[in-house]
Amino acid sequence: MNIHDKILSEVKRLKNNKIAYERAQPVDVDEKKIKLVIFMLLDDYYALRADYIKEILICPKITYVPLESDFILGVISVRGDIESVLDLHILLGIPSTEISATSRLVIAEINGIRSAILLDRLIDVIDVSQSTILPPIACPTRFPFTECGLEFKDKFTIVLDLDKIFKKITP
Amino acid sequence: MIPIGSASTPNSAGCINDLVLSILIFKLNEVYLGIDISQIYEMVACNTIDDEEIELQYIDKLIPFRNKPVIYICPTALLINNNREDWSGRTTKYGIIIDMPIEIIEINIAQIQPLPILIEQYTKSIWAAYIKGDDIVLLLDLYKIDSLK
Repeated sequence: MNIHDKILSEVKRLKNNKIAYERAQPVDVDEKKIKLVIFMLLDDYYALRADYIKEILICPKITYVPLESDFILGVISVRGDIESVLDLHILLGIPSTEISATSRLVIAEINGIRSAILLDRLIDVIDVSQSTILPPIACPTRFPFTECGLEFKDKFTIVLDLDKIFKKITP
Repeated sequence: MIPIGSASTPNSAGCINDLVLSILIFKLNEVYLGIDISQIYEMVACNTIDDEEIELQYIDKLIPFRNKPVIYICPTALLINNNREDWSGRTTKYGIIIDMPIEIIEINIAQIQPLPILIEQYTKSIWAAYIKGDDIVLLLDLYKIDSLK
């Protein structure tokens, strides 16, 4: 065994020790997580950060408001307060659906703007590790309000950027 | 013909918090709308108007009902209190045609709800709302409807 072989052997031993050490380390349970509200619009999964969701409601009677805007469905009364109701279908360019027994409203608020948002179906509220979040898909015309994405039930799920949505519809 | 248009009434001390508005409520396409009657000079059935100088416009032509075609069941004209005179010195007469006037109610301004920000920015003519039982009444300001000015 020449000197190089000895060095190589020592390098491998050290490397194996390092791998074994890393494997023996406990998983970082404090990895940053984000809480998401997962829902469906038509047949696709979408998500909103739960930090901005104040309440989830069974769909009450929506009062139509005659406006030029077509993505505002109307208003609802929530314990005496009036909230606007936003239709994401139109903003995202997907076909609108009828309100059904599975429809839900989430009251969302960010930067002082607050509105109810109509969902076709609420799926889950989950915590996901930051490391499982995927970067926004690069197609701004198709997905103009994408904050990031994730795999959920083997489907790509778009996490919508609520701030961008509200900014788009406010002057 | 029903002459209306008495001014909204503050209490004896004139405190705005105690101001009471008299609101005419009507229904159009399942939507309850309300108008402060201080903006109305007269309410009259459409088929009794014989004054050709009165300009009448259907309410759905002034505010955009986009959900479905508007069908009038009981059209009624509201002549607007505009207190303006035209070039000949006559008081001009403008009016809107509404449907199904239901009632006139008195509401304290503390019962009036501001519109949510997202709604407010898309309308000038609807200035607030009032919750009446299970229904929301949208309050119209006739003076803010551009095409009526």
